[in-house]
Parts: sequence; C-alpha cells; structure tokens
Amino acid sequence: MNHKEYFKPNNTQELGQLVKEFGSKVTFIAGGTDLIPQMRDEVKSPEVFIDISEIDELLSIVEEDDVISIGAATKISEVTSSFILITHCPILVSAAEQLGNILTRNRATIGGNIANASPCSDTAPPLLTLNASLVIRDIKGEVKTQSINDFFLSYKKTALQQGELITQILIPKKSEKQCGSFVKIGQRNSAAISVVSMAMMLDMDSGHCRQAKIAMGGMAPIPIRALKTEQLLKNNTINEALIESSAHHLAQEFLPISDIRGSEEYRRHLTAVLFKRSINNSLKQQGE
Amino acid sequence: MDKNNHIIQLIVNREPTTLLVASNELLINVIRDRLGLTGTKYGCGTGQCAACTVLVNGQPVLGCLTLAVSVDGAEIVTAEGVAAPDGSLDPIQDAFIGNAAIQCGFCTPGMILVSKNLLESSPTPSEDEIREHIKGNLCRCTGYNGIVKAIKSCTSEKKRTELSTL
Repeated sequence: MNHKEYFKPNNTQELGQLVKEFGSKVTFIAGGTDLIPQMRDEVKSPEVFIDISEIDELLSIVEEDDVISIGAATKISEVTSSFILITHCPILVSAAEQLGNILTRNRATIGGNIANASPCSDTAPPLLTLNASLVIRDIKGEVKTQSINDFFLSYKKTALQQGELITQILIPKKSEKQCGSFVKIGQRNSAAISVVSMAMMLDMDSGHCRQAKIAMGGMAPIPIRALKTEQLLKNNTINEALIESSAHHLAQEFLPISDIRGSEEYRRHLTAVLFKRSINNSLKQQGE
Repeated sequence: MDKNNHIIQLIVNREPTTLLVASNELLINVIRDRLGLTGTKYGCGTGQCAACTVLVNGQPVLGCLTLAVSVDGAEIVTAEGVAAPDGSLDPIQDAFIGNAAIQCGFCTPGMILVSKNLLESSPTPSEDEIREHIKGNLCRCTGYNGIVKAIKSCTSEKKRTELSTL
C-alpha cells in the first residue's frame, strides 16, 4: 500500500471543506472492513482517506412520524441493538445480526455496506424490501434523495459519483402489520459471504397475501428485487401449491453466475429452498 | 506535519503511548512491530480468522483491518493486558488452562479477549450464546469444546462469587 493522506472531520462543515479541496481524490472510510481488504488486493488504491465515522450528523437513528432515519455511519453492532429498528424494521436487524462476525460488526457501517455494493450485501436485500431511500450529499454539499431501487446499477457500481456520500438511510414506516424474514446461506456460519440470501416482506390478511416484496443477494450482479415472483404471490391465498410453484419460478427468475462459492445450478437450488424457508418463517410470525 | 503521518495517542494495556504512524499503517502492525506486543497474532490478514482480535474501547475488533490512525485516543487491550498488573492470571486465563482450551495457542489471544468481552456484558451466557459470541474466531486444533467449557466454568465462578458476597 502506498503513501496516503488521512483526515477525520468532526462535522459536515469540516467534511465539506475537505471534499472541496480533495474531491476528485477522496475515498470515504468508516469501518474499513471492506475497503482495507480491497486495498490489500490492490482492487482499490485510495489517495486521500476521509474518515466519516465520527461525524455527528451521520450517527443517529431517529424515529419520525412517517420515517425512520439511520445515519450512514451507524455501526452494524448499533443496528442490531437499536430499539427503534428492532421495533420497526426487524428484518434489517436480522440481516445485521447475520453480517460478518462480532468483530466486523463492531466496525462496519450500514452506509459502507450499501456503498460497497457487493451483490451479496447483507443489508441491501432487506432495505430493498423496505423501500428504503438514501440521502446523498453531492460534491458541492447539496443533498438529494434516491430510492435504493435505483441505486445499484451494475456489478459493484452504484449511482454515487466521485466525492458523493450517503449520509442517511430512510425507511418509511408502515401502518399495516407486515411479516418478513432474512435468510442467508454461506460457506461458514459466521463471517460468511452469502452464496445466496433472501429478504422477504409480506403484507398478509389472514392467509391472503396482499403484497409481497422479495429481494435477493448472490443471484445477480446487484442485490435485486424478484419482481416477477412478487406478482405471483400478490393478491393470492398462500397455500402449499402456490409456495411450490413460486419457489420454482423464483429459482428461474435470475441468471446467477457460477463461481468458487457456488455453481449456477446450486444457487438456483438454494433459491427454492430459501424461498420456502422464508415464507414459512414469515407466516409463522403471523401465527398462521 | 503532512497528512501522510500522524501523531496518535493510545492507552495500550493501561500504559499511555504516543506514536507517529503512517496513514495506512494497520493497528496490528503497530501493536506487534512498533510496540513489540506479539501476543496478538497475524493469521489471515483479511479479517476472516480473528487471530488479530484486540479490544478497542472495550469492543473486540480486527487489528488487521483497522487503521491505527483511526483509533487515535482509544484504550487498547491486547492479550498481554488481560492478566492483572501484578501478573496474576485472570479467571478466564486459568479456565482456558484448566479446560484443555489451548493447543497450539494461536487462536488463544483472540479467544481470551472475546471471552472476556462476553462475560463482561453477559456474566451468565448460555452455551448457545457462548458459541455465538466466539463464532468469528477460528480454532484449528481444539474443536472448540474446551474453549466453550472454559468460558462456562467462568460463569459459574462469577455466580458463586456474587452469591458469596450477599
């Protein structure tokens, strides 16, 4: 690793000055749990680090009338212990609990996990099913909001331009009671990079599915919603036959790669397994 | 002072230390090479084995993935800092010795630190909670049962101590 500069601003004003001065050369760092391995592999070679892990405005979890706001520098360990998130977004908490191990969770941040944009990101599938939006600070200091559904563009490429920073993750509060589940399968039972993962949120009316949101990791170049399978569940009564046929359809909805973690065939097989597991987990929450 | 090098202050095993570090210097290298504290082990270097576990402000983190400059001002505890200042072993260390929890010893520093961290936040964990907490630390020798037994034996010890002070 070569010579680098490092700054740790205390607030967004200091951040702004640094971005203005170094904009084109800036790499944001918080926990560094993805960035440092990438630097070792020479995939990334930052010139200027701006450490955002102590900027107040990026650190709180706030519940407002219609929305939950999570600061992008919130650690994964803080996500798992947040009363607000346990109450309002248990699927996100479940995914955070399964991310990495306790050591990575003590440093990794939710903003970092999203911006790193691994197709196997653990926080992305739940956030996709929660219809989350990202508040993004551009290089001039102006702020825009973008739906996470439009954020992942292609393999590890997001809508973030050079010098742009996710500052908050916004999750709309739902008045209807929903049930859901996040499951992942990896090659070890901790610090596992998902071979396949699945987030599912169901809007149920005793046995009848009003709406379903399903998002997957490890099945496409990006974390992705399974829009076709969602339609199969929508406005239907959930029974064994529907679960079976939907599992089959979902396994065919994407074209996953074969790599050292799993072949295409294995990933498709896992998809069907995880779908049945997820839907049964979710329905159990309802007391179905 | 340019922004490639930083003067940082750490409290390492209760001792204040001031160091000049490069921006990209890793905490594990500072601990092992600069401070000579080789109790912390360099395993995979990629955050997957947790042999490099150290406590930063009480929380276990991976030394191989942490920039030293990013923990300026922190309290660091390494394996060498677990025993009392007079050298007497911490109950968890005695427990590891007494329960066949150590073979080659490479995972032991990390295991001891996460065990201490667990017992501090949760003095009477169940076996499931113990296994969950040490999940990130790989051991290639013991099969983990001795380690789990060692941690379990400390929970009873603590309970007994608490009861005896009532």
